[in-house]
Amino acid sequence: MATLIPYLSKRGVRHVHYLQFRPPWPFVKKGSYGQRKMGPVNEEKKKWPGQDKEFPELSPKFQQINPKELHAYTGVQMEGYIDPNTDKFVRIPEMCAELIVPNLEGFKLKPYVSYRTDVEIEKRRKTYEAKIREKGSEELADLHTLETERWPPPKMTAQTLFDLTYGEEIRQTFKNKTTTKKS
Amino acid sequence: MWTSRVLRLPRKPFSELDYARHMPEEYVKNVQRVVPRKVWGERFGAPPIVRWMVHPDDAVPSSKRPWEQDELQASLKRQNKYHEKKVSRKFLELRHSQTKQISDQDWTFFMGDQVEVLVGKDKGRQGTISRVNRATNEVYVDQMHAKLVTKFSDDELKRLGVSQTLIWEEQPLSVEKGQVKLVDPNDNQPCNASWKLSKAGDEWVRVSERTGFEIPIPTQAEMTYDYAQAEKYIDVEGKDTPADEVLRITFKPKLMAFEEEIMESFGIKENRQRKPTYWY
Repeated sequence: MATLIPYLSKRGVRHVHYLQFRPPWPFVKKGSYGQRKMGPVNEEKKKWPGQDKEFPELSPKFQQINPKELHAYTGVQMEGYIDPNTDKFVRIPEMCAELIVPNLEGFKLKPYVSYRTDVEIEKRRKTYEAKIREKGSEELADLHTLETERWPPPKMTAQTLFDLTYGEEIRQTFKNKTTTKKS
Repeated sequence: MWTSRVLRLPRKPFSELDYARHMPEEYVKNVQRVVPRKVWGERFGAPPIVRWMVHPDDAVPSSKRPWEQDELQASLKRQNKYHEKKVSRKFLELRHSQTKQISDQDWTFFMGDQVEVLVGKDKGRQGTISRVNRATNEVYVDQMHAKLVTKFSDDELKRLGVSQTLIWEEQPLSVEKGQVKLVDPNDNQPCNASWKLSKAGDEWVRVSERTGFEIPIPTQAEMTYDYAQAEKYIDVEGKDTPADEVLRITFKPKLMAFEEEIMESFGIKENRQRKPTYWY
């Protein structure tokens, strides 16, 4: 019974007990060891997010103290607005989220890559390297192998793009110039 | 050209051969519990302080795979012990691994190889390698160097009311300590092997140091959890993209900006002319 003294007060009067005379701010003793120290305590638990009303708008616990706009806050964009005159929700179709999903019919890519791809790559690499060794240089080997059969695949550089788009035109104009000069 | 010379150098495919080579590294680290428990970051440029589940120095390479039951139990136990000590502010000595993995260039043992056991009761007998553990430099030989073990303790057997059953369990043989040697197919005698460039200079071959004969790598060596042989792998219907589909080049070079391409696909026409830009 003596242990309950601090918690149960008779006659609504405080006993002379330290628990009845709490300091206005919390003092936390770090432990029973070492010098007496008061001060902040480093608690591992408190380091995780979500402590001390860190996300008050997400917790229903704090709904009352939240601003009115956040009372039903879910983090989702509203599909309309509340009319201040009628206090009714007005739904606007333009504000509704519309999911545009691509049609995957006839789409051949799947979530995983077959292990046979490695085999195929290895085969291509081997033949290409053999070709390089045979011809002596990479440029010569490129001429003798198909672009799709090469590994590593050819890079798309600014020069290749230029050659593919303007190359033919320039070649033609150059040809015409030379022919017109001769004639 | 420098790149082409690099290309012409023969690669070393043997360095990738491993039964568990497709196991994601993240999963292995997670099973070993070598993951940070908490990271104290944003220290104004100072490196972050990491509290580990199991410290990386504490993760010891094991004879078994780290995701096997016993190994997982051991690492979880170690993790708990580490944190018990941390909470009670006591010091826990980290065990540093004594074994060092033999480099790819010096490693010559693969699954399916013929080897001779040089120690134990099977000394002088030859067998095939059933398992390789690169992390501890150990090798398991099929039905060799085995020990009789029980899987259950006496108390458990009494509780279940089952009589004791013993099974032969192969014990690892260390390559580092010279407990096994490769067998030279030429004369069926044990030999040391090393990697040499082939005469054509385009391939690394495993060669017996004593006789100079090539020891071919068995096809079993490329076995993984997923397939016995990569060429014979059967694609999973609806999950695996076939190789020719993966390697098809669908990109068509166009002289167009990304926005212009999108506009074209939507059929939007732009009459205004883009002003020319010049780079100097």
